[in-house]
This record gives sequence, structure tokens and C-alpha cells, in this order.
Amino acid sequence: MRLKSTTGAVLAAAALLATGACVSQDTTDASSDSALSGSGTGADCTIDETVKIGAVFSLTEAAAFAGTYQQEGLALGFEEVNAAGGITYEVIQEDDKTSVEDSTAAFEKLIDRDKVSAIVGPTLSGMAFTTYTDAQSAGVPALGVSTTAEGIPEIGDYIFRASLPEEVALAASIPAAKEALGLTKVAVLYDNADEFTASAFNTISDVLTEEGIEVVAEETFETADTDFSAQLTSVLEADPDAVILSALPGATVPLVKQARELGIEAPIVGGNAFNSPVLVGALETAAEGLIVGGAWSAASDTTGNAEFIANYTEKYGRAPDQFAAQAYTAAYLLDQAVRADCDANREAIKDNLGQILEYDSILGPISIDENGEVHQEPVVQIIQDGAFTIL
Amino acid sequence: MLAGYETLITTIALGAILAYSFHVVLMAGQLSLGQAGFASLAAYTSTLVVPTEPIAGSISPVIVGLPVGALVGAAAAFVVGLPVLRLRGVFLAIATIAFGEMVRVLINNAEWTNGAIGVRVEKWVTFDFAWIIVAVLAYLFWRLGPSRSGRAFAAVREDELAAGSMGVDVVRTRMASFIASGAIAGVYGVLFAYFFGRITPATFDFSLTVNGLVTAVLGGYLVFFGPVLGAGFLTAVPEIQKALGLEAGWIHPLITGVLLLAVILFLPGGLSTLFSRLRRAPARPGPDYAPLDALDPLPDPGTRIAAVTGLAKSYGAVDAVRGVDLEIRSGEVLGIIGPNGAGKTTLVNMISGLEPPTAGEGEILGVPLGARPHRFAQAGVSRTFQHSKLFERLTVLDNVLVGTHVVSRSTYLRRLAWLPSARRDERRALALAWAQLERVGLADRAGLRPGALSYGDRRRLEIARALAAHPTLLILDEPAAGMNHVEAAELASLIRGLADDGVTVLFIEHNVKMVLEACTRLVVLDFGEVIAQGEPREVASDPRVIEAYLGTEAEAHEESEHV
Repeated sequence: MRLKSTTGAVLAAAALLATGACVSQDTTDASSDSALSGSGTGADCTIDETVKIGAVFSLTEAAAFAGTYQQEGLALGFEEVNAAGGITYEVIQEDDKTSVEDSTAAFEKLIDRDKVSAIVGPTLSGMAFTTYTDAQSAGVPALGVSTTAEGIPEIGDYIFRASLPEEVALAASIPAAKEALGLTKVAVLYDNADEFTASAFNTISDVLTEEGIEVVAEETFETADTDFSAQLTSVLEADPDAVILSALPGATVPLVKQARELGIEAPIVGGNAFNSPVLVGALETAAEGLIVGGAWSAASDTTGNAEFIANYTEKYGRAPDQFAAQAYTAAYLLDQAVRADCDANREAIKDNLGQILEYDSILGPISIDENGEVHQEPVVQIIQDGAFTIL
Repeated sequence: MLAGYETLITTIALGAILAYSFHVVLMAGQLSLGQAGFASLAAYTSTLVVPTEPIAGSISPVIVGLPVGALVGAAAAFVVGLPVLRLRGVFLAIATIAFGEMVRVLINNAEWTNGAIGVRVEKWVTFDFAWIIVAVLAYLFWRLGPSRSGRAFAAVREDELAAGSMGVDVVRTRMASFIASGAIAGVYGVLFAYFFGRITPATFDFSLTVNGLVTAVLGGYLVFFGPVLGAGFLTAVPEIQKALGLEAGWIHPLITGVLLLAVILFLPGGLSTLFSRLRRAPARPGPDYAPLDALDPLPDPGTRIAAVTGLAKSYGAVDAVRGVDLEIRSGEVLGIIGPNGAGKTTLVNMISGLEPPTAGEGEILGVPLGARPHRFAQAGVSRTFQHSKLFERLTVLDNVLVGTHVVSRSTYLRRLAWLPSARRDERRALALAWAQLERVGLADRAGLRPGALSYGDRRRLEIARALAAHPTLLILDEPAAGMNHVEAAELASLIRGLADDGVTVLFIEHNVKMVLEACTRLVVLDFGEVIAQGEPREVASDPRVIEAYLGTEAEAHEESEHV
């Protein structure tokens, strides 16, 4: 008896092992729902069924500083698009708690359970590298609104982004600063424990070489550091014309403050991560003279920008930042892609997102190419009297 | 069927595997928190060796990564363990956290790891694959629990000194748990990398350690399925909240935190406490219960089993024991008496290996002085302690089963393969333990925890545990302390019975009446020196002894009351 049941258990385990050890063959579900394709074209397009759009942002934990703005911006965008009529969008919002596990689970839920037409997010590139491979193999178009790291659109043909890559932002802010300030030698400070800032550092190095600017000091720190006196002292000794900084908001505030206290008066140049009114508020007077490259500015007179800022501020009781602006734009971009063929199926959205050309948004004219990469003019700003001013 | 839930289900599996790497060290009482480092090393190493194409058409290439990851984790644990396992408690925790941080910095700055940007790999791990690993681990721990090795882990966790005195090699057991933890953490690292398809140095940061520790403690580390319970709970609670429509961001962590607190406060053994009632009450072994004759015979009466000369121990300027010469012959009941602070306990501690002597030489059952306690135990020395050192979270029966460590063979590997010989050995150990419980009259309390026993019963349990080792030399340190007159008389007759069976007994006692009744020879210590020895009644009437210790009859009685 005993022997029999044991043998049975062993056989069952072996069978399980045999199946589990195999690589499952993912089959792309290409079925389309005819109810999601409507009649008419462009602005006249009418789709009866509600179009479900998934959104994955980091609403809690480390990246919540960005995720909450994104959630609000996207919601505002779809509210306006819905008001235009013809198509009703429903945003299914998920919080990835700034963790890879939750981000992956959220994508899976949106793809397999909610069967959304497209997904906006996630907040961080680090999660996108995992979740976008899932979206790609499931055949669901995904639109990034803050995934600025190198290599995101290359994940596949279903992957798009409406977020200015860090290399483009930096490639704009460094030459602009060079022109405005006549830079010849700079110090570079970067967080080498974070993938976003480490990736940005690579871009910084390339741009500096291209521009023929000499690097007189190169210092690193880690995301959670709070004391930067060692690095800043050697920056001070090198006496650069400007300091190029690649850091997350957490380190930016103490670092810039300590630099000013130590007597470093050179302008500080940064990329996307600098572009937040919260950062300026936290830095107080130390923010003066920061040069920021980004995708959006409250000071730009792009189409609809003033209304966006007014509506957003009225609705949420705080001023929008770049994260909100990019998420807001994503709603319009998805709407464009759906209306192009009046079809909200995944395949149609995928085909049309990559064809958006010079769409007039609050970020300025914006295009997404067939590889999923965004093209727009970066905005270079300098902080003067506590406000962002276009340089 | 599972579409849309696979990540969730796999997250539970991965959480459980990570928790198992904490489970195994917690089982042995080690607060080791270096798992993130082991996982990181293993995950990064595996990316170098795992092929990029499925093996033989359809076999997941991670099959290659798992043994490599386990090996890297185990090897790293061994190397780290050599220096840090001298530490205990919070010091061990800090040292291992530092190791994890070192690995993170190393990986972050190395060229081949691509620094903070990380490594991307194919997602070769599917949810069934991850669950098979969980099943294998659960099986390994299920079979470990009631084996000789499992009891050794538990004994080391509950009391290292007592475990060593019962013949458990404490250093090896701790190292074994540490290496196993490294190997499991390595497997976790590889599975994580190939499930999520991407690793960065920050993947294996301190929060990973905290997650694993919380899961392991929450599930409970006293039963084999604790980690699965813990991981299931931590994943399910947020999902259930979401299903109930609780969406606000801060409510999830709050409710999860409150539940966590409730479990820690009200279920000290973790969630698995809920299942502990399912445990069967221990029962007297069946009819094939007469294996005691298979034990090695004790030495013939009168054989010299121990001889030490010039034994001394000093703590700084204090000489606890000075120049003691002692010879013990088989079959004796040797009493050691002396005033408090005379050095009695220090003397037996040196004889049983708990303290190395500062001077003196000699052998106890062929083991040189200064060796570690488990070697004395393996040679046939077994002891009790002045302040009883019982394994408080084990049942009475399991306490005594630990005692059988030195007279049984390792059964774990054979249990894994369900070999009948393992079962036979376990039954033999059980019979041996049960016989000792009956001998001291505790058989009806076999299923209780020591905490539920009276003081006298605790002392008897300690004696039963010591006897289960089938000792040649049994050392009892004040066994009658706290017993009433009836209990002490019973104990005296038990000790005489042991001597009749050929066990040599050495005991420290203040109860003069009992000493005079039970001993065949008496040694009197005062200020660390032997002041008299010989036939008990002669020694008791020695004027020096009366002066140094006994004083008047009345004082002696008074003293025995005090203890």
C-alpha cells in the first residue's frame, strides 16, 4: 500500500517536473473584437463599446512623487477626450507600489483579465524593461510617459513612448548652457547606483565629448546618500564653469543645498528629473540658476498649455509638473491612434500610434515614429526668482 | 484558467522560496540576513552560464542556472560563514547585512554586471516551474523536521550549550544551516532573474532581506510549510482588499501592517500556529519496542574512565578551581559537595567541555580536556545543568529525542528516499526516548512543552534527556534543587538504580541526606581545592569538612533549604 502511494506521488511529481521544465510557447492573441471598431473617421468616429485603457503608475512608495501626478494628468486628459464625444474611454488604474513584482502583476491583470486595448505607464524604466516584454509578447500596445532610459522602444513593435528620452533632454540642455554661459570645463556628478541616472551619465559623457567641453571632475554617489561633502570639495577645487548633475529628486535637494553652502557658485545643469515645481520648492533659494532640460514647461505657450495648467490646478489644487503634462498628452495621443482608423483594437492602436506625426500638444508638436520613439523639441529652462523661465 | 493570475501566483512561489532561505537559518536560531548578497551573486553568475536557447528543443535553460546558483550561494555562504559564524544574534545580523551591502556595491561597480543599468535575460521561468521548486523545498523541509538533523537544528536554536552537551556539533549545525540558506537564496536569485527577465544591483537590496525575514517569521519557522503560508498571506491580503474595492493607496499598507502586527502579537509561532492543533499527540511506541539491548555495553565496573591532574580555571585574578586531581571509575556514584562558590560547577563544566581549563591535563573517556562539548557527549558524557536548560519550544518527548543524538545515526538523507532503515532508526530513537520518560515517570506528559511542567518535573525531564544518550558518565548538577523530600528520595533511588545498571554518576548536590544515601564516594571542594575525599560517611565526619562546609548539622539543613 505504502509503496504504491509513494510510487504514485513520485510519478505525479515527475510528470509535473516534466511539464514545468518546458518552455511554454506564447501565442499572441490576435483576435479582435468587432464591437471595438466603429464607424466614421477622425473626429466623427463613434465606437459603441467603452474602450478600456490600462494605466500602471507608482502611486505609493519610492516613485510616488511622479506617479500621483501621472494618474491625475492621465485622468484629466481622458476626461476631456471623453467630453469630445463619439468614444468613451475607461481608465483602469493600477498601482505598482514602485516594485517590479507588482508592476508585472498589474500588467498581467490589465492584459489578461481586464483585456484593455492599451496600457499607459509604468512610471519607472526599471519596471518597463520587465513589463514591456510581457506587453510585447501579449501583443498589447504600451505607451510610456516617463520611461526615459535608453533601449525602451527597442523592446518591440508594441512599445511606444511619449516621454522625451534623457539623452535628448541632456543633449539640449548642455549645448544651451554652453551657449548661454560659455562653458569650457565642467564637473560631472552622478548617482551610480540608479539605472536612470547611470544611463543618463553615459549620455552626458557623449554630449560633453561632442561639444568639446572638458570634464575637470567626475564624482559618483549612491541614491540613498545624504552627505556629499567629499565629492563637492573636489568639485570646488576643480573650479568648473558648471556642474552637470544626474540625480534623483531625493539626492538632488541635499546635494544642491550642500553645494551652495560649500561655496560652489557655478550653475548646475540637469535633465528630466529636475523638471518639477516640488523640487524648486524644496530647494528654496538654492534653486536659483539651475538649468533644466525637459519635455514641458509651464512657461511654454504651446497649444492648450494655459488651459491645461488652469484646469489641472482647479481640479487637483496643485500646479501640474512634467509628469502630469506627459500623462495628459498620452490620453490625446491614444485618442488620435484610435480615431485614425476608428478602431480601438490592440492591433489598430499599435499600427496607428507609430504614425502620429507632428500632433499639436501641450508639449509642442510631437511625433511617434514606427519604432515607438518620440520626437519633440526639448525645452531648456533656467530657474530665476523661484520660477521656471525658458532659456 | 490561470490567465491573468500567473504573476501573482509566481510571486507567492518566489516569496516562499526567499522565505525558505530565512526559514532554514531561523530553524537553527541564526539571525542571518545576508541572503540578498547570496541571491545577487547567484543571479549574476547564472546569467553567465545559462544558455540563450532552450535545451533539446523545449527544456527551460534555467535548469542549468539552478544548480549553478545554488552552488554559488552555498560557496559564498561557506566563505562568509567561516569568519562571521563566530557571532551571534544581532552581531551576526549586522555582519551579514554588511556582506549583502558589500555584494551590492561590488556588483554595482563591476564591469561585467553592467553596473546600475543591470542585465536583461529571457524570461525562462514559468509559474509551474517556480512552484515545483517550492514543492521540492517543502518536501526537503518536511522530511527534515522529524529527523535527527532536524532535531539538531531545533536544539541549537533553543539552547546552544545544551545542544552541545547532547552531542550536537553546534558549529557544524550552524554552518550547515548557513550554507543551506545560501543555496536556497541562490536558487531564488536565479528564479527571480529568469522570471522577471531583468536584474539590477538594486533588485537585491535591503528591502529584499526585510521581505524575506518578515515572510519567514510571519509564516512561522517551526513547521515546514511556514514560508508558503507567509508568502500566501502577504500576497493575498492586498489582493483581497483590492477585490473588496478598497482602492486608496495608503489603506492597503495600513491594513496589511495591522494584520501583520496582529499575527506577530497573537500567534507567536506565526500563522503556522493555527495548524499546530493538527499535530498528533505522541504515543507509546508499538509492540516492536525493545531495542535497548542493541546499545553498546557500558565499561566493566571499576574501569578507570576519567583521570585529570592539576586541573585549574581562573577568571582573571579569581581562581575558581585550583590544582584538582580527580579519577573516576566506572560504576561509581561520585558526589561533589562544597559551599557555594567552591568551584563545583566550574569543575564539571571543564569535565564536560563547556569551559576550557586554564591548566591541567587528562582525559575523559578518551577525550582530552579542552575539546568542544559535543565530543565529550559523543564519547559518553551526558549532563544536566544547575539551571535547567531545556528546549522550551519542543515537546517533552522531543527534548528527550534530542538526547538520543549520539546513539542514533543520521536519518535525513535516508528519509528523503523513504528508506525503511530510516524509519527503523527513528522508531528506535523514539523507543529509547520513551523508555527514559517512563524511567523518570514523565511518559504521560510527553506531548506537553517544558514550560507546562512543575519545577521537579523539569529536573526529571533534564535527567531523562541526559539518559537518552545512553551515557557512560552521567553528570548531574544539583538535580534535587527545588524538589521536595519525597521527590528527592525518589531521585536518590533513581540514581542508585542507574548505578546498578552500570552508569557512572557524578553529581553536585547540597542535599546532604541525599548525598550520603546515594554516593559511593564523596569529594569536597572549598575555594577551588579538594579538601577531602573518600567514603561518604567518613568524609562527612572529617573535621576540616565540617569546618569548611557542613558547620553544624543545623546550618547544613538551612543551606539546603536556600538553594
